[in-house]
Amino acid sequence: MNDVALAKRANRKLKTTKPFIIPYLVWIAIFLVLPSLILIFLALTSYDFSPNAEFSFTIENWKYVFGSEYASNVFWPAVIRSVLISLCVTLLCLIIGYPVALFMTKMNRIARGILMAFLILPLWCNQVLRIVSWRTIFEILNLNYNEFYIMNIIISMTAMYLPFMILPIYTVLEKIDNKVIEASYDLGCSNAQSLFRVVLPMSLGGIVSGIIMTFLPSLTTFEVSDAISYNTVILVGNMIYSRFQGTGGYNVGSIFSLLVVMFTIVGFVLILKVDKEGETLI
Amino acid sequence: MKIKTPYKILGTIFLCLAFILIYAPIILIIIMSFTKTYSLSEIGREFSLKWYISLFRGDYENFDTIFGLQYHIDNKFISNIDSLKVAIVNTFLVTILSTTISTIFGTMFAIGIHSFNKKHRTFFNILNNMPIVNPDIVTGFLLLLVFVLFQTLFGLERGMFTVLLSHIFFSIPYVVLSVLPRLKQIDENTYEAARDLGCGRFEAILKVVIPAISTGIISGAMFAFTMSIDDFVITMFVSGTEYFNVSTWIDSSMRRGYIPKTVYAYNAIIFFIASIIITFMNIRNAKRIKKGVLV
Repeated sequence: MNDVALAKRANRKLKTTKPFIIPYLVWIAIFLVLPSLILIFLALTSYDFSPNAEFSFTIENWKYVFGSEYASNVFWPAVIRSVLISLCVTLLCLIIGYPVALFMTKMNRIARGILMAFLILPLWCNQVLRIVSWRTIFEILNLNYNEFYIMNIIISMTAMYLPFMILPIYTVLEKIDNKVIEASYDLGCSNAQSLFRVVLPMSLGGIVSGIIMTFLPSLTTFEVSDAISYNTVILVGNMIYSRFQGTGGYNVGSIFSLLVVMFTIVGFVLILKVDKEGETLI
Repeated sequence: MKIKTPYKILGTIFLCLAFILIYAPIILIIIMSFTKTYSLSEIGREFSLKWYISLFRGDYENFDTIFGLQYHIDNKFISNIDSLKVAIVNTFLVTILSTTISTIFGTMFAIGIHSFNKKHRTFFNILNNMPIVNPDIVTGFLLLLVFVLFQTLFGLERGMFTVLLSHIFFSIPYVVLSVLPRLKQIDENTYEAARDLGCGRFEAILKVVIPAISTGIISGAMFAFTMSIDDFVITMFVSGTEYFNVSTWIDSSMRRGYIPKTVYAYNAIIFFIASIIITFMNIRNAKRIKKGVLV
């Protein structure tokens, strides 16, 4: 084959669709990179988009968030409360979700398909209404009081994010070759040994994705504590949301968002550690 | 591999627990939608279809005169149930448009990303996963900042258009993520063969690649639809003051102190339709598995 024919061949490969991503990059630049830059800009300055806003670099907002009365009375308690609540939620989701995902992989294909579909189905019911009905359930159970609010929040968040824990774990578990598990039995593993030494390490990618997909949302929701505790339990999400409601709160809101982004980055590093191409999120 | 009975029992217990947690609020929503009054002690006592009727017939009882609640949309005040109808239409309009657009572009971007080598692919994967991993509240805040900037620069008001753009933004990554694994499995020689036989690039993609990855595209579209129809946080941030979808409508009703039960009826209907679709899909799948078509 001469050079022209070779070039023609190369031009006919599917690998020549690289230009397809140019609009994607423009899109990402406008809706992800640009606002991230604005976010950093707002966090460092006093500019807040109001008509007569003046622009100067300042660290006043950082002082306000981390070292004022507001910090010790509202900010730090809310951060600690949020982290503890989301840890509880994530742990509960993992404890319930992992056995469910494992149990589902042992069923026949038809049953698996049906269960999977009925795990995703609830997402079609409006999430705000689901939270409100949790409140009604707590009212019926006579638990809708101050002292139970934290528990109620944890229960309703666990119920909300459980599918997002089961899904990635199930996806990974389903791909494990049954022969590997049989081999572990042949080599003398007990059930527990096979689970902890073979299945669990192989499903680590799914576990990490599941943890991130439940921890980050439960750290940042505001609607749950809004509805369940009538906005008396302040979480990180409520702090960010209240900043956006009023005017002039964008600067402090940006600092809060940057803190959440740090959690996201930690999540990304974890995902890339266990899953080199980052494809097991759903 | 056979599993032993104690593990079976344990597994069943966990499965039941998961389903109780997930379905408790939904069962309550359905019961409430069929109950005549608001009072909790009477839940399930008095069967009534009036909330379903009110969804189609307009205000069943005139709540606005009882509670004095009105909504401000398009510079005029309209009644509660009418505003719910506006919200429902809004939701479906945005969901259908954003699902269609993000499915088309997501598939295109996935094909583009696939053509890169592994190192670059990882980079694009990270870029793509960013909006999925980022919590809704941060995505919402970031999008709000863009739209506030646009408002300052070009006078773009927040409303349905900005909500649509946002929904497309958070839907595309799900489509890309569903399509990419399928692309890895296809035989690329078929594409080259199509080109050799005289297809243009787009024709070959349409006739050879798209059919081969159709399951990925469908599941991506399903994900996009599910995420969009249920979205609350991001819509809340970017919708401005006069645009409501069902989620933000329920939220604002909640803040006013009462949620008209018509919306329970609406949600129950959506749930019934979705269950019927899913049941049919499963029956079809089961038949195909039994016949051995689907391996």
